[in-house]
Amino acid sequence: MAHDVQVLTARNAGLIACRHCGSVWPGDQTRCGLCNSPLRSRMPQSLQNVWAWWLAGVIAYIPANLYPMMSTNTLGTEYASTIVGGVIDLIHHHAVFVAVVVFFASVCIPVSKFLAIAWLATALRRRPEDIPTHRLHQVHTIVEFIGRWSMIDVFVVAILSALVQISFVVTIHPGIAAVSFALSVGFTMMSALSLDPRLIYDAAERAKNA
Amino acid sequence: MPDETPNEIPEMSMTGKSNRGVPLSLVWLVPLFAVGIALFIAWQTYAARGPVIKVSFAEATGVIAGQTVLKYRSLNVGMVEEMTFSDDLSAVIAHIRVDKDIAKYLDADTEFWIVQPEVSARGVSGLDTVLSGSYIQGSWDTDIGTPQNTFIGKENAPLAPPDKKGIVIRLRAEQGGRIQDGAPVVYRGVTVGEIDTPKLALDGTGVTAHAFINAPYDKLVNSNSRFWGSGGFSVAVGPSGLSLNVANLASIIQGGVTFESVVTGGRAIETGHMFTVFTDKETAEKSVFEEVNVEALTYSTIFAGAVGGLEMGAAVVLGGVNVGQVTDIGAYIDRDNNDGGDVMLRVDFALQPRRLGLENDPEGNNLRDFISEAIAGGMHAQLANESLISSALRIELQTDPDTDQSPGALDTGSGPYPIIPSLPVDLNDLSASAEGILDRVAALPIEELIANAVNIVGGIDRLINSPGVQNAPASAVALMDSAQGKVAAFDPAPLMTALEATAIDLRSLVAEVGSEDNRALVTSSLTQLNSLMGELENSAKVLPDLINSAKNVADEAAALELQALVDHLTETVTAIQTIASGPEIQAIPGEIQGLIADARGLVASPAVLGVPDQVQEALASVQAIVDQVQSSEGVTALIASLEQLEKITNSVSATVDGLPELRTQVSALLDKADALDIETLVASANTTVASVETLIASPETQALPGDVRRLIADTRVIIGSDAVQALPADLADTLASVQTLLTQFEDSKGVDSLIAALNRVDTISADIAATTAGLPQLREQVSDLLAKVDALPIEEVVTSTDAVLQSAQTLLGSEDTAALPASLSGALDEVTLVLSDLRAGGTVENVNATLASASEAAAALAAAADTLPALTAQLNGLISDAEALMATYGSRSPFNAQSISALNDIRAAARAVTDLSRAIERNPSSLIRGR
Repeated sequence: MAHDVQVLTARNAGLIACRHCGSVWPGDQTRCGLCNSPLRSRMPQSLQNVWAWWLAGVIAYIPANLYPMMSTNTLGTEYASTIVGGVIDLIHHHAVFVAVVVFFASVCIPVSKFLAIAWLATALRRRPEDIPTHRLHQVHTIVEFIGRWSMIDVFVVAILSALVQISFVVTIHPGIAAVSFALSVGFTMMSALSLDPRLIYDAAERAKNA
Repeated sequence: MPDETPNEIPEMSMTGKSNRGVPLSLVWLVPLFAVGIALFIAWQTYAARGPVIKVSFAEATGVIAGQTVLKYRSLNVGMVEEMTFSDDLSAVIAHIRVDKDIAKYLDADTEFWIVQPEVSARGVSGLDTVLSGSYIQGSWDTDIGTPQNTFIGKENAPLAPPDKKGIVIRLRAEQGGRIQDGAPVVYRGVTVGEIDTPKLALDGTGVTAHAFINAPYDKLVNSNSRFWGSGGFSVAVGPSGLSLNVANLASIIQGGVTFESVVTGGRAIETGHMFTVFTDKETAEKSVFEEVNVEALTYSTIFAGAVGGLEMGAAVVLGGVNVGQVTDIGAYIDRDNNDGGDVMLRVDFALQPRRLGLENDPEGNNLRDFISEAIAGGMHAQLANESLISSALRIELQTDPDTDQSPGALDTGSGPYPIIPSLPVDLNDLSASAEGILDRVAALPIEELIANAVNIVGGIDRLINSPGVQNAPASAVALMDSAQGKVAAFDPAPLMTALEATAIDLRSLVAEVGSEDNRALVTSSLTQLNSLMGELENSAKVLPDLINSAKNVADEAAALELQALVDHLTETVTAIQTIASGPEIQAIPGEIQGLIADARGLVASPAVLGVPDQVQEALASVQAIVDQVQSSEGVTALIASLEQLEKITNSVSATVDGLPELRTQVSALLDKADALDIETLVASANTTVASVETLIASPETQALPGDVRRLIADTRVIIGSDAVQALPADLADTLASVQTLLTQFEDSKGVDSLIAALNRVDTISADIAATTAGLPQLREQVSDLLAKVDALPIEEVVTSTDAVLQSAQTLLGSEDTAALPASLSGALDEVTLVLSDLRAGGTVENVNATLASASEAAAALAAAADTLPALTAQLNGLISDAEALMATYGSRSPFNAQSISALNDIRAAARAVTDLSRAIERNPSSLIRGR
């Protein structure tokens, strides 16, 4: 259905759009007349950057799950738990809703983001004929939207570390996983941002031409 | 878009083509960097990771995988990663990841144990584990040995961890009461070590325990050290009263042992040396001298004649100190003797050098030298009785300078051991002495003594059989009853206080009497006396003049007509002789004799015999009073009197100063007397004597002896009367009353009164002193008087005297004078009546009542003494209670259990806080919402 629609891209029209201010300039213009940013019809290393950030995010996500998210020191007793361990503890304590929220935010969203970005990048490279163009757009939009919600665990740790510092009775310190997780989220956001959505048009064109 | 070609737009050629033509993005550095960091961390972690060791424990109390740490000197050096069971489930194995730099020290000497909170009599330990949980404590030495992976953990903290310096010894005791787990090892009151858990000996004959002595005190323990149980209560009742010794609290609850090196020169000991724990210090010290010492040197000595009473093990004594013991005794017949063989006794004995204070040396040369020198100095071995009453013998090595024995020589050739010369057996000294004593006893004049004793006993018998003495027991009983009553009502506390105060007063009084002032006072008095004597001497020098004057007077007197006076006197005497030779007078001696006989009978009466005792008791009372006076203010008054005396002496001295003058006046007076007309006076006297003669010659006077005789007869009748016979008994009673009175006086304010009287005496003395102060004045007055006398017309006086004598003559010649004997007789009758009145008396009942009160007092005292056992029983009960109280602090006691349960509560509280914090961690909004 989508490939039946005739799409006129800016490049086909001999124009070039500025990604910063959205103004359109003639194709031979190298700099935006409004904001003086460089004008590119397509980001030249977009897919490379996507894969590089994606890989860094995945690497950072490994220690984020292996190491404790935060350590609780209660009357001299040190207690540390990882993300998944914390979720299991919460289920044991019958806090199922909180467990579901934490699991969704800390496991499901990052993992689905990795999968979605990887799928998008692969789809653009392979030029799949049967994938509708607007589906790619939908996935890209969703990934960009939910990226910010992945930081909920990091926020919890940050708030608790700041609030719960009752020196001897109980103190909470962020663990290695908190930093790793924050980095991982940041990397995946960078990865999503690096994906030039205009490549989708090219993919659609190629599919059409094919 | 078919018209679309890559050449239309130059940029398209770049982007539209595959990315292979595009240069690599710099962003690729980010994942590379991340991978690099990850690899670096992984390598670092792996490189720093130490090995895992396995430590097996009987129980994993409080050990949690991933939480329990391994500590060395309170620093974390490892973490328990896993807890598993051993294959046979007989133990749990803690897998501990230890730090890499520590792992190399974990060799065979390493020990592990679990630290838990512990409450014991010594205090609370491991309290930090209440909150943080148990941890595993490791201890190892600082030497790097062959590393080991498998260890067996200790049940409790080891007594001597490898990193602790000191020595481990073993203790053995018959009872485990004093050696308890953790009990202290004390040296001179300082804790220097600790006792491990005691174990029963396998044969069940005692208790053994390891003990650890901390460095540097381990050097105090040597082979001569002796251990004894310390601590606890000890109650001793001795001559100094009740003494209660209480050791420190830990010792009371836990026991403990004390040690000392009783004799010097002990060897250093090795680890695990066994010591015996004695019950007390005395036993421990004594044990030093009872041990069989391998260093002893054996000597022999030979006694002539078999002697019973010497046994193996008997003591060898040098200078009163036990220095060895007899090891062997053998009798043999000396065939070399010319008598054909005597039985000889060879005694071997072991001498211990250290008891002689000699340095220990392996060859015993010190002892040999010592013995040789001693023998050269005259030392011999001698048999002696162990004690006066025992027939057991011991060997004494003694150097007696009085003995005529020449120094012997050590015989080293004729026996297996060197033979010390001996003195002949002389055990009969005691019996010989006893015999001599018996001889002297036999020579005593016993018969005479017995005869005298018989006489005395007879006299005593008579005395005892007298009614007064017969009644005495009853009276004594009554007296005891009375005393009992007194004593029962007697509160000793004030008396003791008064006694104490009296003693203090007495001491201060003596100090006062002996003070400088009083001595100075006496000295000055003596000085005054001395000067007084000098004055008197001066006066004596002029006495010859006085004597001359007197001589003149005598000459004058000699010239008087005294002859006539003498003649008259002679006649008078003759008349008296006539009277005396009368039958009446002759009868008087008989009467007097009878009177004396009666009086003797009276005196011999039993009542009188009892009087001395009464008097003696009365004197005792008086003595008591005097003692009181002495201890009271009386001495002060005496001192004041002395001062007054001094003043008097001064006055007298001043008076004596004026004596020569007085003497002169007396001399003058005598001169005047010399000039008197004595002759007339003598004539008058002569006449008076004549009148007296006339009077005596009168019939009335002649009848006077008869009256006297009748009077004596009456007296005799009176004395012979029952009333007078009963008088001594009454007197005895009266004396008893007096004694009572004296006692009362003693008890009452009598002494105070006496003191007051002494004060009065003091005042009187002061008055006298004031009076004597006026003596010189008096002397002057006397002088004036003498002067006046000198001026008097003495002649008139003589004339008056003459007149007086004439009046006397008239008086003697009057009828009234003649009636005087009759009046005298009447007076004697009155005396008789008075004597009969004296029979009245009734104080015996009072005395009896008093004695009854004393008896009651004694009974009360006895009753008071009966309560003493009850008091002792109460004291015993008190100590039992105290012991029971201490027992409640034992290890399995309720106190301990409660302490542990309290700790458990604290732990539970800590867990609750942990849960709270986790809840906050998982539900942060509850902090904000308050739920």
